[in-house]
Amino acid sequence: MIIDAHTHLEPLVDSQAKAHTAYGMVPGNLQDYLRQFDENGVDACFTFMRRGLRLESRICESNDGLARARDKAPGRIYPWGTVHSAWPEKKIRSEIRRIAKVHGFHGLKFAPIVQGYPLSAAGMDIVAEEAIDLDLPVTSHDGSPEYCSAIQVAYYARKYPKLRVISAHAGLRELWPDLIDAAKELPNLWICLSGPTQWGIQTLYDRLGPEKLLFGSDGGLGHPAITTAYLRRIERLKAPKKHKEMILGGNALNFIKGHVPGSQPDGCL
Amino acid sequence: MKTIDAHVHIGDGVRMRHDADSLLKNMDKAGIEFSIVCPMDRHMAVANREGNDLVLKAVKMHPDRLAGMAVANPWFGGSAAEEIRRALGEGLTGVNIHSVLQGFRLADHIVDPILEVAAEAGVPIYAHTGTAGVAEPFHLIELARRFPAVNFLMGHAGASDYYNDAVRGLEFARNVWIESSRNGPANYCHWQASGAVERVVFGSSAPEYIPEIELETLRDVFTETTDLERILAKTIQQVYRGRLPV
Repeated sequence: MIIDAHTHLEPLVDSQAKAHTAYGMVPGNLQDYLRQFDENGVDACFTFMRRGLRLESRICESNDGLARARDKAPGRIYPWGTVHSAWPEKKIRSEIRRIAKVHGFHGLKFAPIVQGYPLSAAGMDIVAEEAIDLDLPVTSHDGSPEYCSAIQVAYYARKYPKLRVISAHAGLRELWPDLIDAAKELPNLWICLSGPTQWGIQTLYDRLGPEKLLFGSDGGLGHPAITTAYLRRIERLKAPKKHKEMILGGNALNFIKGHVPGSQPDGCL
Repeated sequence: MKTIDAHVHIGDGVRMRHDADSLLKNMDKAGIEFSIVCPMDRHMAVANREGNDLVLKAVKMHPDRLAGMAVANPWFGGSAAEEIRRALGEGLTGVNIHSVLQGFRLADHIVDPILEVAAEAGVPIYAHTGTAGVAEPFHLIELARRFPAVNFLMGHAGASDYYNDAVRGLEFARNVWIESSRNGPANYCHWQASGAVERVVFGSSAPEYIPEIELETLRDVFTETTDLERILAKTIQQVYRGRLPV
């Protein structure tokens, strides 16, 4: 079973248009998204919004759109919502509770580089309090100074040891080495491999083993080859088959709310 | 289809090791006829002469498969320019600058003496880009504007966060081309949509990446034969002004 722990879907219908091109491609609808992952043999995805991460005014609407997409493709889409750290405290708390309890989301996704604040912003303390209380993991874009480098994601995990934190890009091409010591030290820090070089992915595996690593592609919005490329990287990883299976999906199961160890999520192939 | 890899490293670094034999084996597996080699790791940062000699040795042993780029840390001042002059005189055909490993801001005038040697020799410069504050695409554009007679390769095309800057910068300097390593299908599509395909050259950055995989991924997106011919061979020959022996 393959679970892609980092994908994006555009839930805003008016943003599925040429004017909102992502990397030269028009963002597709839910069917396009599912087809891309079918073609790549991916069974299920952790699904994040797209434009809502940049447009604070459309976050709640995007959270709702992800919930609708999940309802149309249960077992394939595991939505992670977002809030904005600059919102009033009451709104941060209420929206997190709404997407956790009403929508049943599986985690929170942040992209501080486009949302415009560092992980050390006061609002992220409120996020952590709620996420811990609701047992929601948090994933953050990383690899991008000055708001969300890899070491800043490590800080967030260190600051909140009861919060499960996933580095969404493993520090991208250059900052992944910061995660080696951090992931060894911090039991609450995991690493999604959507970003490092092949050597970086291999080194993270060699130094950390498979338990902390998750396959992710950042696919869903553009060309299906985005996902193919990262599947090739895991395929060429020098590691036993069992470890590759953990990285490709086994470890991600632990982040699916209500998952019973040893079983597969409903709807998975 | 003729394939030239514009960016690979060899050396016995502190963190990475990659010798010429491994490189050639991987080139054969990937169907790459020719690669442009530079030192890496400590050889890029400090032990420059040792690195240049290692690349020279590989190039002299395999002149039909490899060309090489010289390195020298500009903080060594006049002796850095002399080392570049020596290595080019011995047979290397380009210069690689890595402002992150060598500790300077890419547009800093500290690098000018090295670029002057490259200009005199008529060889291209490869510059690492993609690191915030010290090695951004627009830094390279400044260098290219200061040295309009020199051809520049924008290493890694600003990957990963500077994909817009990499393409936008091209309009300010006709003497800059973008090199593909560290990029993937998303940025390939961005280059296509931005009309930048004629300015793209293929590089794998081996051993950071496996050339075979990088070529497969490139071909997933660039499906037109004319585009592939340019990216894989023709454009890098243009950057080298016909000096590559392939």
